[in-house]
Amino acid sequence: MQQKWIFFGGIVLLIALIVGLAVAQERIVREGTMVVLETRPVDPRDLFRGEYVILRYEIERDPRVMEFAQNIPEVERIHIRLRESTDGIARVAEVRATEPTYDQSSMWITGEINRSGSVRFPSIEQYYVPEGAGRAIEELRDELHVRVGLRNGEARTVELLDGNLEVIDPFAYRDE
Amino acid sequence: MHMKNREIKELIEGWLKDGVISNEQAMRMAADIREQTSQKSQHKLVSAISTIGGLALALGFLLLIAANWSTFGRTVKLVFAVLLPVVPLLIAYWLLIARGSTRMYARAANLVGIILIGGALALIGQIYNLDANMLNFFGLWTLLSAPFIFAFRKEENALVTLILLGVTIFFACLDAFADGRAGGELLIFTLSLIYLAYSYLLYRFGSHMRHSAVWGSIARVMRLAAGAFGTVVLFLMTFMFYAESVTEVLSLDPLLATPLSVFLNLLYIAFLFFVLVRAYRYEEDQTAAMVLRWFGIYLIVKYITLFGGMFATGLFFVVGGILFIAGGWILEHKQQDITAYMKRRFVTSHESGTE
Repeated sequence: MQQKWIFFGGIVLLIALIVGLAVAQERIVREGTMVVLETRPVDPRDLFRGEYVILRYEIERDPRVMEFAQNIPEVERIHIRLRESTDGIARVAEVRATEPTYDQSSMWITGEINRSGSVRFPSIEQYYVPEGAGRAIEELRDELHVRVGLRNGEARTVELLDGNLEVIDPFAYRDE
Repeated sequence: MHMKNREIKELIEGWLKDGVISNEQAMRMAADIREQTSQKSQHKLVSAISTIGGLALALGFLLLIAANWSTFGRTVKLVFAVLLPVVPLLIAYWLLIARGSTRMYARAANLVGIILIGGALALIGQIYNLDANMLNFFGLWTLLSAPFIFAFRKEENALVTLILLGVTIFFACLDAFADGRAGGELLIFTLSLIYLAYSYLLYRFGSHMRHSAVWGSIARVMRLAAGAFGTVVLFLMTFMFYAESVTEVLSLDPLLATPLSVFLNLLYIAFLFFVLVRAYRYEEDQTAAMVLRWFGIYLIVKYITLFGGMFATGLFFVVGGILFIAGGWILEHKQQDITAYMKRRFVTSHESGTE
């Protein structure tokens, strides 16, 4: 009897955790503010999670962001307010060290400053693509954009976009 | 006490010679042993095939995930992620607990379920393009696997969870030293101490539960895992790079690295001897065999690292060959004498209650 309760307790914990993880991500993707970021990708392979494109963003190289990261090394996190430009791409409007007050329409994104003084966004650095598509998508480097969901500073990738900000179908880039 | 078939046959021959049993009885005993051996071999074969099948199934699922099942929407993928480990675990529960089955496929379902917990977490990471935080991944996998040790009470649950915990510890240390300020030497030193503490704790728990009717088999897995972890860590500590890391971390004179390395090598040999004595005392032949294998690997590696640069290539292989042939001859001819002495010395001590 005791084994039965422990087993079903374990199953409930397992389901609760998996669903809880998914719900936390869905809130950002469905309810977050959508922005488009310009990228520059690299292509690795993760054995246990398939093929993915590593993404870097132009906002990491914004002069205000770089100056902030290099001049205030003791700060580990950076909060960046984005503003949508006329071309539809979000760019840096403000940079700060302290966490801001978030509201429904705010476009804040939180980044990490690593030891070398560069800014990274670990939660949106990878996008999983079908097997064989990574290299072809990586070659779009100058034209690749990403639609990202933002919520209270957290970001999640939603979809890849081309130079015309049209949604990319990763299946179309698979090796035959 | 586990006896090899050869030993049992020798016993039977001895009894026959002494007139304790008749010829017919001896033949009947020999036939029964042959029958049992055959059944055991088949059982081992089925066990091996089932385990390979279980692992292949789990790996197949993981690779299918890796090939990116993007044809499904997020909701379907989420349902799949939940079902992935839950279905085999429910099958294992029904077979192992509800029906009390001891079949290999029941245990294979258990193993598949535990491994697919990792598959489910990986699938969530893929669905939402999450960053590959290994500490979170292995930590969650360990946490979610642990309750099933107590539910199923099987060795495979304990073994997988202990390995996952060991990997989690590794990534936790890596994360703690991620900023690189502390340097690689401090990471190596800290990791070695933590793993030794981990091995010790596993051994203590395993020894404490040794005689438990319910947890005895899991306690054995814990002791074997402790032996394996401890052996690997102490073996790595015998290399010069470790002694140099310690002198660097503790700000000691670099010249102390060599005597420290000698001490660590002696410590390793002492540890192996300690484990060997315990193995003979508690008649754990598998552990004793593991220790002898590790000692053999140690000798080979040390011979290569110590003499590889000193001798010319031809001389290196000639001397090495002579040493290992001589060692093999000694072991082959003296093994029974050594084993008998060890058992006489340490099993007798154990039975008389002395430590």
